[in-house]
Amino acid sequence: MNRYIVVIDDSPTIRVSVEMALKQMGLPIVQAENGQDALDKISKIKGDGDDVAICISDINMPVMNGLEFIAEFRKVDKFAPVVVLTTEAEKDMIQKGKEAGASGWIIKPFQAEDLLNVVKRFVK
Amino acid sequence: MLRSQQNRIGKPLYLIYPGEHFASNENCFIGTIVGTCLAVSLFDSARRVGGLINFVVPGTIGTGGILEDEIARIGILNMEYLMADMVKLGCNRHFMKAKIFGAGHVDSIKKEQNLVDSNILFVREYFEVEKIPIEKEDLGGNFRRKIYFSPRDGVVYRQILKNNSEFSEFIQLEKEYVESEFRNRSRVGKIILFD
Ligand SMILES: [Mg+2]
Repeated sequence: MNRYIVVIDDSPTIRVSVEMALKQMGLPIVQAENGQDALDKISKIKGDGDDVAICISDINMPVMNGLEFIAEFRKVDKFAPVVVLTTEAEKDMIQKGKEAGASGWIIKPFQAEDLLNVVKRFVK
Repeated sequence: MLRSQQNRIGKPLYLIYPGEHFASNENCFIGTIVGTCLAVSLFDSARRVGGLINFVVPGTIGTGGILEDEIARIGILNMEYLMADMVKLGCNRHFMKAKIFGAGHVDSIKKEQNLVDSNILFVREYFEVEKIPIEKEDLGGNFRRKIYFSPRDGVVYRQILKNNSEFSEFIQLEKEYVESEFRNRSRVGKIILFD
């Protein structure tokens, strides 16, 4: 069984940066450009008998935003951590993320090493 | 940012200062002045929403390109701020086009030799990775530019500024902004863990 890191962001620049930062986790990485795209890819992963190790998700995305994604993801996966990576720094929004089922919130800009350490904390 | 209703163009004008950005679906103009900095406009033709940002990449980008570069990280962050505000207005990167201005060799800011080249390199590579077409590019030269952007149709009016004394306030603000970006370029955001 494979365990995937799912990277969700509408910016290819951010998706590639995150992928490079997390390469040394040694897990397969799937990129998605919005919440709906991520749900589709996660459903395929689970359909193949594989699993999600962690999701790194942006908030502001077209089609389905990060908060909507977390709520939907929690319906199909109660346990896999979701770490938000965003420019959003407002308390209310962070609280909403927590209530929706996020495991952590990283406000950009981020350093590759810090992101890697957060992921290592959640993925053993 | 300054909003003015009384002007010759008969539409609201939002004037943004160095380090600021603004996105709108209103029938208005967003204006700025750039010397060393970059002025980037984005226009989503499907939504008819546009945005303008005035920022600098504070330093020299290494030969490895923008994706793993510490300095480019700040440029990406600035673009993210503008993108986020546009997405909140319903925009999607797939329908966006960019116009880029500035990175002038103006003598009031001599931070690093190749600051201007580095900024030009950043903005071109960023839009290449983002797969957002650059519709217009007016970079370099040894002058400042005044930019008026119309966010409803993506049109940009650009004026080359020869008489700098008229814009001394903007020149001073840009200088202070660039210096503060250099001082704060290794900044990182907060990490909050819920458990
Ligand atoms: Mg985004």
